[in-house]
Amino acid sequence: MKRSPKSRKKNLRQVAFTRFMLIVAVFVLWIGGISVRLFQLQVTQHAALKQKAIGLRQDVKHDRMLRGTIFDRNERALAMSLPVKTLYANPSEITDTDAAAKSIAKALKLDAVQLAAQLRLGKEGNKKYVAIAKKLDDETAQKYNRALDTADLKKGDLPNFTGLYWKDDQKRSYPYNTLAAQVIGFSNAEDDGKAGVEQSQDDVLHGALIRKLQERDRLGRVYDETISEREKPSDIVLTINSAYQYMAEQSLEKQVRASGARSGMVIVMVPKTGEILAMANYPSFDPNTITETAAEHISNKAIQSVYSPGSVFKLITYGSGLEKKLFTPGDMIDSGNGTIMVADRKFSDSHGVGRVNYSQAFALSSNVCAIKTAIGVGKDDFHSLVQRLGFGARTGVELPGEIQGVVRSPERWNGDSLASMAIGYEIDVTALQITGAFATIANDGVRVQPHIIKEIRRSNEQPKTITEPKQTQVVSAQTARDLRTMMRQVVLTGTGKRAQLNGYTAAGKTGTAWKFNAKSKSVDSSKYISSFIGMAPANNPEIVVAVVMDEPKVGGRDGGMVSAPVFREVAQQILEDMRVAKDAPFKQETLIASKDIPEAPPVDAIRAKPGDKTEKGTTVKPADPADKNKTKDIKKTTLKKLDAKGKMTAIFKRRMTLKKIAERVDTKT
Amino acid sequence: MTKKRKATRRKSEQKRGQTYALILVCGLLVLAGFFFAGRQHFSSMDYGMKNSRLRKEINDLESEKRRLLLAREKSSSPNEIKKAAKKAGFGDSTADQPQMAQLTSATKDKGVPPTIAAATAAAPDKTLIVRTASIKPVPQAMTTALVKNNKTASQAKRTMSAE
Repeated sequence: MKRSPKSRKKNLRQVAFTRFMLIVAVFVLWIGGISVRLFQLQVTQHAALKQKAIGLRQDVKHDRMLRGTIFDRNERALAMSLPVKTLYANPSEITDTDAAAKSIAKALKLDAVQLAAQLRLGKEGNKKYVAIAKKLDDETAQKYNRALDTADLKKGDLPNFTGLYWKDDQKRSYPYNTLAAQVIGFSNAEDDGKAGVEQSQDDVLHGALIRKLQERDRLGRVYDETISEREKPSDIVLTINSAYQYMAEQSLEKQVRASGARSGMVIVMVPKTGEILAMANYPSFDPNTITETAAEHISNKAIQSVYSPGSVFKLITYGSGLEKKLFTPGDMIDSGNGTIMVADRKFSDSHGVGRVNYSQAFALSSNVCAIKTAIGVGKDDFHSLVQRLGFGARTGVELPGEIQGVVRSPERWNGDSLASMAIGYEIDVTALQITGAFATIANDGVRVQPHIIKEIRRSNEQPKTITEPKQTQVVSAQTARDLRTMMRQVVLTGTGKRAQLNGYTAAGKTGTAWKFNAKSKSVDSSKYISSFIGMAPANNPEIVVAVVMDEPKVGGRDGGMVSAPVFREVAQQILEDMRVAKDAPFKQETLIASKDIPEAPPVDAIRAKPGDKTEKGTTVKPADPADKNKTKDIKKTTLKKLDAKGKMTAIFKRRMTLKKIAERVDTKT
Repeated sequence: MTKKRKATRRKSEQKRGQTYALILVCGLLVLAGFFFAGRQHFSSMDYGMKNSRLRKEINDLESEKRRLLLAREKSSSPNEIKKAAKKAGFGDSTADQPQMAQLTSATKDKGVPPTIAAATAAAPDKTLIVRTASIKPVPQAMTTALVKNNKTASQAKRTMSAE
């Protein structure tokens, strides 16, 4: 029963076909399985897997750009931000929180129990950010990296510790500590400006949030980075001169302490441009340690507190008389018996001035003459001038929280309001407003808006200068000149003698105002605001300096005694530093240590002995006997009785000789 | 017939050879492409890493520049200068206030408090410079150094005058 070859061949084909089909079936099953799996992975689990892949490969970081820097007018950085690092933990990546907390605490010298609790809480709350050490500088960060290094762990980022990461952060620093603190202000931990220029210019200074998309390899190394382009924050240049600011702060602090005043402020302004060169407040604060600062020291009292200006305001009253051409500086005015009745209220002068010319009345700060002037000018014109000089409105200086003061409209005035306002009561002004009014007079009647920002600039860009400040002619140039002449008399013969400068003419006005007592709703005659606002050189003022002291308690408390010396010290130093041409003869003056101004200094302590060190670093030489004799001779000459012309010649000669002697001594020292 | 078959076989073998060669070339091209792409990929990653490192370096240098600028500002701040002056032997140990020279008129001024007036009046010889910035006694070493300097200065002056 042999099979035929034909059937054998057919059988073999059948077997081969079956085998082939089996192989095909296996392949189909295999490919089908793969396809099903691929479908499952790529279609049904697409989103989740994509997310997982991105999570493994990509890293998104959000960093804030460094906050802009604040410079003074000489490019000294007053506030700047530094990059720092914050160490944080991602608790979801830490398996054993207690063990991790123990290791971290040991390395960083932290409280292990507290840290463990923090991590546990973070893990339970599914948090991905638990800050461990905030705002560390680079050196400390590297120290921590070394301390946290785990030998058997391979991690792309430092620190080489599971679940710990560094976050880029920034820290604001104020290198000059308390200098111009109220002007600069401060920013909080979230980089938000909270006071001063930091607050008012927060939009410009604030660093934008940038998004960094990092592609990482399996070891966590960044091989590609995409950073979203954002505009860099701008830097701000102030009109403040840090050297003048320091001078002003030092003089102010010294006088506040000496006079036992509650506080004080000094403003130095350039009348022609409205630039504020210095704005000092005392007591001050250090923005670097803001948490330790008393809240009341943070406010900038020069723009955020008001006071009754007192006699300083007579500049406006007497100015209104000149502007309305009721008087000229030489016109005579009679203060009568030194009292005046207005609406059943008696106003009097502290000392009778009698019949004097208008300029003398101003120099002696006569209340009666001021009231007579205001009555002559009339309510509406007086109020109009007050408004035009900027009272009752914000000056527009680029600082936050400026208040506008209180100037009531004439309809709301009482019978004696005009008289009260004429002598600086029933009106509340800020120190900057009154400084602005004096600056207007210094600038020939043109009011320039005070400003504190010189320019705003972006890196790699041309600086953007602040638009020109508004200028308005408020009083005529002639009135302004007359007022300056009258203010010069205040310094020469009136209440502001202590404001006399050496080599420069000065003009100004003193003011001593009683403070308002909110409880008794009347003025408190035991509490003063003593001020002096002046300008120099008198004929062409380069600076206006305002000094306001709140409640001086020790010694003479009037503006001429307390504030004028500060004006003198500040103005003298600034004018010399600005190299303003001297316009007055050098007087015989004595250089004494400022510390010796308070009462009863030992005579020996203030007199230099030969061999002592001078300011310039040289030694004081024994006085030249020839010079001494010369001084005596001059004295003898002046003691002689002389006619008016001769007297003038003698005074002039004496001044010239003294100037020469002083120059000789100066060159010797 | 045999000859014809042989010729056909030779032809087909030639074609096969050509095909194999073509496949080989294509394979090599593909392989080279893969190799090239791989190389490109890894070199781009390498460049990316270098780029990232350089960017980090730029950031670090900028931070360092800022730190130095801040350090410069801090060191030139009045407080630091005062500290440095104190270290060098200058300054005032009795008060924390700097003693700046102040101008006070020697002429009789009603506004001047009695203390200053008395002080100036009590001065027997009206020396123009009574006291300058520092009134703290200078340490011995410093005084010696100053005396030496002054000696040198006076010697120099003498030389100049002799000339």
